Amino acid sequence: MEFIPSICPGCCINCGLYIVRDEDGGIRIDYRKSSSVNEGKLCRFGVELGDLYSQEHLKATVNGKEVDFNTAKKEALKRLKKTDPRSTGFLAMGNSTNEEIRAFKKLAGELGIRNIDCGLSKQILNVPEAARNYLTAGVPLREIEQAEKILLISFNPENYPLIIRRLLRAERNGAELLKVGSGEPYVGRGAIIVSELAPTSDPASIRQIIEEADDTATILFMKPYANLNGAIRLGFYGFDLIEAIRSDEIKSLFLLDPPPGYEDIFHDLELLVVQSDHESEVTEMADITLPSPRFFERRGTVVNVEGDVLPVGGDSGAGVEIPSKIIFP
Amino acid sequence: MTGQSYLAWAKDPEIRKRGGSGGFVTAALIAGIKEGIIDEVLLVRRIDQFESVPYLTHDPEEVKSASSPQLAAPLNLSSYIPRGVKVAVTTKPCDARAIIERAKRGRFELEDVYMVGLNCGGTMPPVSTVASVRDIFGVDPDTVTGIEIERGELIFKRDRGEDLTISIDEAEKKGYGRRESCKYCNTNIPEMADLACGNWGVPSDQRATFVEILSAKGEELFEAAKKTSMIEFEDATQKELEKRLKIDRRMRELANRRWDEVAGVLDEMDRLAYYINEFSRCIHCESCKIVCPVCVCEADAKCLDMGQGNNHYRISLYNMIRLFHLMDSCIGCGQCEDVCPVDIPLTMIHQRFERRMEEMIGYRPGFDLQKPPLQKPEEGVK
Amino acid sequence: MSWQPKILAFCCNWCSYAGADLAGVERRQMPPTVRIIRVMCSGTVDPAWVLEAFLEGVDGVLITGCHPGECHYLNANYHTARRYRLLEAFVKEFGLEPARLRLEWIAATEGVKFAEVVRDMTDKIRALGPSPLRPEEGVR
Repeated sequence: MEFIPSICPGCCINCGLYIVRDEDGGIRIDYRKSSSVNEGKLCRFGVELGDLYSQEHLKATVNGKEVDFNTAKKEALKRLKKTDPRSTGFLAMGNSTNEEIRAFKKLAGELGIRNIDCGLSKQILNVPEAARNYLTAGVPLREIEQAEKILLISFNPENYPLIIRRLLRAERNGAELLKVGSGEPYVGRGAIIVSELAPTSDPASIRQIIEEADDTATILFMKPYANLNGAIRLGFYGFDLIEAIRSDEIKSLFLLDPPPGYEDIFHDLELLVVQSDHESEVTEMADITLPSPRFFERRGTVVNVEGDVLPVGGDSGAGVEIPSKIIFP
Repeated sequence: MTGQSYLAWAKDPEIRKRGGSGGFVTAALIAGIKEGIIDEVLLVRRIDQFESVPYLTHDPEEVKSASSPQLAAPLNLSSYIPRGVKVAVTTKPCDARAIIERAKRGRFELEDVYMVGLNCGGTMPPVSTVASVRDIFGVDPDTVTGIEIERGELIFKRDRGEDLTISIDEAEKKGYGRRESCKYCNTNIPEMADLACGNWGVPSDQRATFVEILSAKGEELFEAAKKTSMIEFEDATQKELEKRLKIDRRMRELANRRWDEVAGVLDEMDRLAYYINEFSRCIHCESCKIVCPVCVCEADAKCLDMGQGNNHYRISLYNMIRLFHLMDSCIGCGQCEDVCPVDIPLTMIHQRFERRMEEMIGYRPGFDLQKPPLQKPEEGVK
Repeated sequence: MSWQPKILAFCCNWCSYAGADLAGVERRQMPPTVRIIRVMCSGTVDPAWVLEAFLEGVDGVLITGCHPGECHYLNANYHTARRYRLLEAFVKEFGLEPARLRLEWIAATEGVKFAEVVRDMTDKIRALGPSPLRPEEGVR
């Protein structure tokens, strides 16, 4: 019975939890009540995380055939080098540590590939550069409880259940809580504005929220994957890859830790390299797969909703080494 | 002998100093291992002053270094007990009650579990406790090296700088202090365990543990500690016995008063509307079931099986079945409320049902191996 | 027609189900408020079914079984009695009116009693009105 303090990769809140390894090798979660962001509480995703981590671990493959790790790595480099950088992209949708994203970005640079994206480039590029820090501003969740006014703009708390209790406490403390639909008028003075920044968000509405907020308002953009805050802060954006893949503009892709839900867009790629920790529909269609450690096993950090840099909990650097060693073996 | 009370302390001065009160518990656990009475010890091990995790060991040195961080451990150890080995567990009353309920449900043999009971005035939720150091005293929580409750005072020990002290009442008025479920828990001495240990009744100038032997298993451990010369002891005097019971009585009174405050308001209320409203927030993460020490149904539980997807109900069948099932087994340990992501006052609610059952049927879960009413035919009509 | 309560009755195969049948054969007057589920013994009635029935929107639940000492399965109705006591406490704490739940021992020969119980329970629930647990969309 080994208790590993870790965090949940389910969304940007990064709830603290324990990963418990039993004597028989089973992996389950336990509640980590000292974690300030969630006080030990978890939503269903976190509760079921043990199942996710118990999934079949990804194997190194080339063209669907299992190979040893170095062969897969060499093959990845060989094929990536052959591609036209203009039609090649690097996509990391925020399910990786800061360190992995940094190494991934560096590899893209070494290969002369400028099409990098965390899935949010469309939204980020639409915001003036000077205002982009609003996109990843950390807000201590305790501040929500003490707010006088809270605006939920195109935001459904049920997608981020750990926010619900903060809103509830705020209401109990006398806060005014308003739900605002996209495009509806509102007064943001002195309010905490909570909205969502996801690949599906309307870029115009994200820009509008930032433009209309004055100094008295605090903006919190919730994000659907573990470390989009880190990805944005590390500048991992610049090109709307998802759209470009759909329109066949991008023909080769290196995909880091793909989330579920985008399987349909990767079918027609000429080259798909995937680094991930578990088998999925996407890894099945990949030309080359590179296994990385499971999230909790990684040595690295993420930037959570409160703006804190948190360790993921593990001690394996393999996820960082894959992109770095592809180029410098 | 069962029923006998002693003041005891560890002979080893280091154990005596490190222990919460005289180090008897640590000494008895080590003696138990050395004498081969127990194979393993399950205890809580500190990660830091505000956080602990369950820990299973058979190494006397590790038992020695674990010390007694129970205040910072809002855990229930009953779920971590291994099957089929003789194991000694340090138990708060809620741990002990949960162990008995789990034994009833066939999770392990009670004969295999040695419950070294610890008197308990409540445990603290780590996050708000850390915050209280900052908010009340304006002090960096990292400087705190330990937490103690003594004579109604909450004390944060520090290596450098003075200790920080505030009365529990005052801390709790400010919204800090013990977990809500601990505030109204009225079982402070673990009378259902094999030994009951603590500092209540011990003269303030003496570093010793007040030990009450409650069963043959408790006696076995005490004898082992004697035999291995791990402890020294003397009989508890009448005065010390009375002092301990007086503290217990006082704690109970406070707990019952707190219960009337938090749960009494429901007496005159439209409870149906209240329950519907509270449970309307439920997101069915099932955490309350997962952590519940008296629920042993696991994945094929009726509440999960029947409780899926009937969205048009005013309260989900999952919650209704849990309310009913826990009515004759809830021990008020507070685990469910601790992990509820939408802050439903679950423990208070389950305790309202349980205490009503207790009143009607006279059965109290977690005190002995008596079958719960749901499994037992109506008495007197058979 | 004015509002009629819906009552779900669990009837034991060996006694009250026959009792209910007899009430019909003897043309005893009773309101059309009862839906009967035949069970092999009142002891098989899972409290979760009772809770589910309320959540589905019935206005009352009637559990009927063999008189004490006359259980077809020796003593299963004593289990019923114990569970019913818990259910009673549950309903009380839950804030549901106690008259919406009832346990009666009815023999196969007691058609009169069955009709009487249904009449009485219907009157009491009619006075209370629809169950507050009834789903907003009404009863399916």
